[in-house]
Amino acid sequence: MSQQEIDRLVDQDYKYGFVTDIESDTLPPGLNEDVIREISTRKGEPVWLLEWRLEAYKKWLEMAPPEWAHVDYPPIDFQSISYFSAPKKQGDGPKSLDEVDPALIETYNKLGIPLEEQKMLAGVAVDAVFDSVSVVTTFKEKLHEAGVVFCPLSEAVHSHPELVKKFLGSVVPQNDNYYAALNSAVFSDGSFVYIPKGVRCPMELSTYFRINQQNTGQFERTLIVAEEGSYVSYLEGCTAPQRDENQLHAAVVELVAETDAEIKYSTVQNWFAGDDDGKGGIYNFVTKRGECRGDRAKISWTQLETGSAITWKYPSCVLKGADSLGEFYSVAVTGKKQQADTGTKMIHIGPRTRSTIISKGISTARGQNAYRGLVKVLPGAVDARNFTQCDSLLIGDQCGAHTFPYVEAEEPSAQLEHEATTSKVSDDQLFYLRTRGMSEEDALNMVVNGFCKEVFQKLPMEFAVEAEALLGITLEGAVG
Amino acid sequence: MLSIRNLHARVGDKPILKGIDLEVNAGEVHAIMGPNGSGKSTLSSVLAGREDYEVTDGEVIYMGQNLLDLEPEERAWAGVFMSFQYPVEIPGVKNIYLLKAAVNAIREHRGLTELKAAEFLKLVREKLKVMQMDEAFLHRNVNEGFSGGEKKRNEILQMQLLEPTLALLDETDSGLDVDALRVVGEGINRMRSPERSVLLVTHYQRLLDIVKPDFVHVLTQGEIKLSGDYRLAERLEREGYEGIEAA
Amino acid sequence: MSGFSEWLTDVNDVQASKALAVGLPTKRVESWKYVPTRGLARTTWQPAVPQTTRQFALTGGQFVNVPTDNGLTVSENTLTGSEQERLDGISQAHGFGLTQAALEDTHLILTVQRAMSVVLNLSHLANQASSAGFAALIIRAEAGAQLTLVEQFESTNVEKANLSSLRCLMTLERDSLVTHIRFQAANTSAHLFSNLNIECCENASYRLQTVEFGSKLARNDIYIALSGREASASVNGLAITNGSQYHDTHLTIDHVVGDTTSEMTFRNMVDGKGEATFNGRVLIRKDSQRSATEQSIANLLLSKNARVNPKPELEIYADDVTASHGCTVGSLSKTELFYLKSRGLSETDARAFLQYAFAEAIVDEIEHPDIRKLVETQLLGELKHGELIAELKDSVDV
Repeated sequence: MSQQEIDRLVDQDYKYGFVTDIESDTLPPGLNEDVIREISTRKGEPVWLLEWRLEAYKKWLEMAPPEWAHVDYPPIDFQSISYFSAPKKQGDGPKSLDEVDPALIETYNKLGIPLEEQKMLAGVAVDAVFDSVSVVTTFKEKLHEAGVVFCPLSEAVHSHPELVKKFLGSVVPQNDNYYAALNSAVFSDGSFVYIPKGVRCPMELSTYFRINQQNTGQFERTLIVAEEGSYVSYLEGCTAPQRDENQLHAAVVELVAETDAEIKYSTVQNWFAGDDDGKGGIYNFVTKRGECRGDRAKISWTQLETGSAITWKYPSCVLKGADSLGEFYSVAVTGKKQQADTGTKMIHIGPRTRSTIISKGISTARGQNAYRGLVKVLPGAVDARNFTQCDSLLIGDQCGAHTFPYVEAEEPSAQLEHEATTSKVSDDQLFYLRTRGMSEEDALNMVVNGFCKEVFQKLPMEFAVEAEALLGITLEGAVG
Repeated sequence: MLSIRNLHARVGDKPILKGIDLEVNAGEVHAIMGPNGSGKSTLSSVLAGREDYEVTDGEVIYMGQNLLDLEPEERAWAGVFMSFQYPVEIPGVKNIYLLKAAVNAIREHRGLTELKAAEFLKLVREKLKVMQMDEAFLHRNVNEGFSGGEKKRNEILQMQLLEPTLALLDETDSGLDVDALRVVGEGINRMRSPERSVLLVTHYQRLLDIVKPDFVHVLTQGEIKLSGDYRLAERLEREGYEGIEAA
Repeated sequence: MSGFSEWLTDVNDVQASKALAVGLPTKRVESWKYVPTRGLARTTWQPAVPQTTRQFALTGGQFVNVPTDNGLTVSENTLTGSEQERLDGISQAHGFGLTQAALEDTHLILTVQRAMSVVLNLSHLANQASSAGFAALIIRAEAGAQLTLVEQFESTNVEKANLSSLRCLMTLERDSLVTHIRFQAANTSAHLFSNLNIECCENASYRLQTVEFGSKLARNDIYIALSGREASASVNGLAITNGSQYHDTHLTIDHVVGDTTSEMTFRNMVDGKGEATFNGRVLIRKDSQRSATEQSIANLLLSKNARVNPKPELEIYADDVTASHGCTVGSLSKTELFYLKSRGLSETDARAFLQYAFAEAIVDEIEHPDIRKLVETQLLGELKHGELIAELKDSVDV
């Protein structure tokens, strides 16, 4: 397919690029200890948490931004960002939907996420986070009956302080990396999930993140704890208005899976990607890590990454428990001038731990897409197994696809296998489909969907459909 | 020669053999037939000593000794040979290295002198002819890039060289065309002798048309449900396993 | 870098002071992440002294007995601008590069004349204990020339750490062919640093076959630029790492223009407390359309304390390409062991068979029968219980 045809097809507007006109209570830009104290005061936090934030801030000051990733961006001015923004008139947080500003409900409706429970997808509870705060959490009652805690982290700090204290920072320490340290200092809100022993969470849990304010960073922090023998499936979605400036999103997600517990974490990331020339868009610098602490625990990451100007994230699994299992299924699409450096780390510590990595990278327009992964097998991880497959698809001759798979093996009984291919969309396949009467776009869509099938199958059903649609929209800008 | 008594075996947590009893006397050819998943291949793998199978009950006495106590190579030295359903490819090892190393290892344990290169080559050439195989096979890597038929011929070639007392032939007919089937079948027939027993594991009757068994056993769901003579194989071909099971 | 610093302080030039200022690369330098530099830094190094020999050899940082074969020119003239640039590029990469630049005093320039065919055998003699030699070799293969370069390392035992560094630039003009065979079985106190910087012009072909058993520490930096159409490169490598050895190869193949092909196959076999690193990177630049590359890395871990760090990288900026890589880590296959044992081979023989097979896949590619035989013989000596195979080879190989 010619470059012009590709360009024609690549031109696609970001349909979530609108701005909600709502009065917000936003801290002036800048970062110092006082700002952190102010955030903590506004959230009414206990002293220990403020100290924890200040400790993280001190560590952050001594750290340097990572430079090893295959991404390129000018230095970020951390003093020009506002670290807290909340829709006004919130008081102590909404008790029910009636107290939520109608403009917010309308915003989520526009995003396709109705917050009224009767209109929602059956069986999905939603926590909606708008800039720095959670605006509403649905189905709380029903979850409460099952013993499941699903609430904003800022609320959990008060309602379940012992749990938050015990687990916060236990998987991703404050000084884990530059952006995790920043998040630990200024994190705003996020979801807290606690599944008690033996409980199978009765519905899918989901959080929708929305950045609205200008010059605002979003620093949410999510903590999910699955006690022995429990199960939870969690999904996050993200959007932001279309703006000319880059906005920083530095989140941290921590997962803890005890013996026989299973956590399934899915992400559909569709932050604003910037325009065709790379103007604007979100810097998505995220630390996600799960620990399989008990035997036979299972953590599965599934992600569809279509948005953001720059994506820098490596959802990882620390496999401590014997026979524990880590999975990473990823589709990352970079079009426009997007850059993605994403992958996973699988750290095998316990015996017979297993991991699977399936990564599908699609590069179009001037996008640069890198898979970076580490499979590390420590001595004693007897009979550990890993299978990794990274496939890259190139659509057009202005983009790039890169694969950086690290392996560090120190256990002779481990068996690791890595395969990777890079190719362009097969002209033969496209031609074949077109001779059967399909349009060029449909043909491309079908081929790319096939390429991603293995990953989409891992998404919860409700979202697999959404993922395919989203991929279709992204590709409409990119057929090759 | 071989007594299998109440043999139970499993793979992981899944029981596959649920009490097999079988007597094989010297010189006899027994065919084990059964549908897919009945436990046929498990039986031959257990007899050859594959690690993945755990024997949970029963015993196997071969020539007066407890076969299950022996390592795979000790079984080979004692005269047990298994022709693999899926012969293993070993890139980098020439076929002739394996053949000579195996022949001499087994001769040593039988108290025979080592074959010198010239004697060995003479013997191998003779057997190659029987199996209608080209000498180039010797210098190719073990089974690497062999077609299905070539692999099976190579297995029977090995059997001819190693002269086992008990031959376990696991689905030796699968993947063979008509001509190869005849060569392989005749290769097996040449090995029949009053001192040697053969256990043929197969899904189909077609190999049994060439290698006529003395006894036929039907294995379903981990147990021998029916035993008889050659006519049982013909009946199976006509009525299928379902017909037999229903009866 | 106490050892180096003492020496460098004595060398009075700009490079040396730069090297001193930068210091040896630490674990923070991505490409030196796994390199154990402590022994290097602790030793108080002396300049190595050349030894007497009758062969064409690199000894004490000097080339001796440079051959005068028909078709070969030994030039006195200096480096071309582009050669100097390439050498500077290696120097600037990190503190060790600067050290190399500061301490190298020999630049041997060899030219294989147009359409001539030459075989060069270069022996690396061991440097004395605590001594280090640095040298650079520039090879120019003119249009249509054919060169077979065979490098071997003397294995004489040296009790203490000794160091040898060779930076080699090769320029393959159009239609030339270089077959480069490297057999490294150096003494186990040796610290060997090798830089290969290869440039292949139109339709030139570079083939490297490298087998590494020896040395305490070996670091190979190989960069191959395919800068003319139809140029090709193939690399076949084997490293057997045992005891407390460390072997490290960083290989980059750069498809500078389109219609170029490359292939890399590398195998690590690690036993004892050995550690092996292989970083294979293929770069296909923008507009290098119709390039093809295939990478395969296999790693065999034979002991509890062995460690391996393989990394196959693909960096691709053109769309009409075929690129693939595969990488495996594991121990000997249980199925293969069972098969061999079921044919009567003992556990030890079966293991030796499979280790031999693993290595043989690379050794068999050596395009020089004498060297191949030599490597095979020594390979069997390296393996535990290699006698049976040695005997079989003697008796049935034609």
